Amino acid sequence: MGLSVELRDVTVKYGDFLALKNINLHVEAGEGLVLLGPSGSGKSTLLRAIAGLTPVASGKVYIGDKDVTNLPPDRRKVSMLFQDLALFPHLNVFENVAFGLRLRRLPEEEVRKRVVWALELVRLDPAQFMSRRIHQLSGGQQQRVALARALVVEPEVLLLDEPFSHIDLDIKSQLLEELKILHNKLGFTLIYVTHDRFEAVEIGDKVALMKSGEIAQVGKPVELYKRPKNRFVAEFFGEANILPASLLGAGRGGYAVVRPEDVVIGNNPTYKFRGQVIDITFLWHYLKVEIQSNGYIFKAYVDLETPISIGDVVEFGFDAKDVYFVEE
Amino acid sequence: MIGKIALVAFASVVLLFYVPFLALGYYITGGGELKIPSFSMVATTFLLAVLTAVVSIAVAYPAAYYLAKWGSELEFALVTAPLWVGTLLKAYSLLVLFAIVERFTGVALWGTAAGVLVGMVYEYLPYALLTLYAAIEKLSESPVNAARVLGASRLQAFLRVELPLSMPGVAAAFILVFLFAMGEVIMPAVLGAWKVYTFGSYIWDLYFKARDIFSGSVMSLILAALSLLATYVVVRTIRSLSI
Repeated sequence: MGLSVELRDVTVKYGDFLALKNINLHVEAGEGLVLLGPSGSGKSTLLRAIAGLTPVASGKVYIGDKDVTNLPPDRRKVSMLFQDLALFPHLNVFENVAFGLRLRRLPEEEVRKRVVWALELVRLDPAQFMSRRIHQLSGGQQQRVALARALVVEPEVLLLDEPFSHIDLDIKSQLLEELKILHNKLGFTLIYVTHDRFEAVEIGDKVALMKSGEIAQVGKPVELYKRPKNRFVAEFFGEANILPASLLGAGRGGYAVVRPEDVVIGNNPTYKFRGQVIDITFLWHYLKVEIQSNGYIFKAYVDLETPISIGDVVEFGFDAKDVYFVEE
Repeated sequence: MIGKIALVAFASVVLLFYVPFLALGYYITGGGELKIPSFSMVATTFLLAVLTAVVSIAVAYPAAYYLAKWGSELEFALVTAPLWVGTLLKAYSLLVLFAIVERFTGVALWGTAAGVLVGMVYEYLPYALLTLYAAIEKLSESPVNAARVLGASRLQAFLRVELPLSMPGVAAAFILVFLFAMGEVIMPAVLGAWKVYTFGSYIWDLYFKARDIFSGSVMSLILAALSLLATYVVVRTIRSLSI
């Protein structure tokens, strides 16, 4: 049913470089957490520290109630999907999936049964694919084999390191959808690393946004979106207008964060501005309008049918309830 | 364009390889009585060559693994330095070493097959090492990590993943050392004291002692053909086994 994962004051060093700085993180049993962040923010390192592939310099890692800080990866009851898949090219699909079962010395009949179960789970026809070589598979199929190999050992915790970053967008959303279903069905704890905020909200109940080896903010997607702790979170997690608080006459320092969908054109809002439209982009559900005003470029999402064109001078603004202030 | 250049290059290499054999053909057409080598001599040569390759690989693999994973430039230079020393010099230095060993342990290596084997492994180890190093060095770390997370100990991950993935390198090292060893003359002559008699020694004797150029030429061709055949078999086997 999944085990909880907890990190207490975890620090990881690569030589003199501090890859992780005093990380504290708690993931509930069965929960889906996404580690989000720009490249080099330490999210993959954090995943590897949980898996036991990277030694921690200080701090503790717990899986369930057990301190696994000094346990090797093969004794942590986790499974992992790697960015480059790391399938075994010298083995066929069946033996790739059976790898973890063979190490557990299960009888041949049981191995066969569970491999078939896992392949069906990831929607690969066992009869058709079992004896294929890895290089005979498409990218999406290899992805599925890697997932089957990770799931067949019935892990308590499944770690995924940007596993879908090299495949087509359509197949990616399909796999994400299936992964979510499997997560609900099998109940393992899921920790998913990505640099893509769209992917992040598709898979995670909770998001931990990382920056330079630290966790900038953890919470539900809506919390990070509506109540970002700082400028970095506001900017990385969704588009934002970030203005000095002084510009709004708020009588305080720091910055004001306003999401583009809260910026309205006309309509007499609390804070009013006047500026010229410099760009309009069609984004399926709305138009993204960029307006230059007071030396800033404001982004607004407006209705598709809004009568507006580049060069127009418009009155626009936002309401006080849609402004969120951050310190830094 | 590149295809044509590659083809020309390939053809010239192949041609260059066979030109000396054409020269042998010149002698063969002269005719004469063929002196067939004894079976035991052929067997000795073959066994020594196989053993040399196997022992070289067994010794070189761990060293190559170490160099590929953690080695420094200095360590790399240290293991390749023996390539700078000539074969004859290596053979005579081993003679001295054998004498010392015999003095202290009573084990006589000079004039035995074991002594020749030691000499041949000593001679070809760096080649095996460099070939294996190249194969191990390019292995990705992530299949090993995948195996570890799936429950494999460090040793199991090596045996089930890294070793099979480095098999092409092992095959290449085997072929290289085996081919060198099949034609070996100096080590059996110096360390075997002509008591360990190999195909190479036989050809040497035919040319330079018996002055039987006809038989020498035919034997050279047979040795080359046997070696090529053995190589072909090894390559086929490895290809069918691995990726």
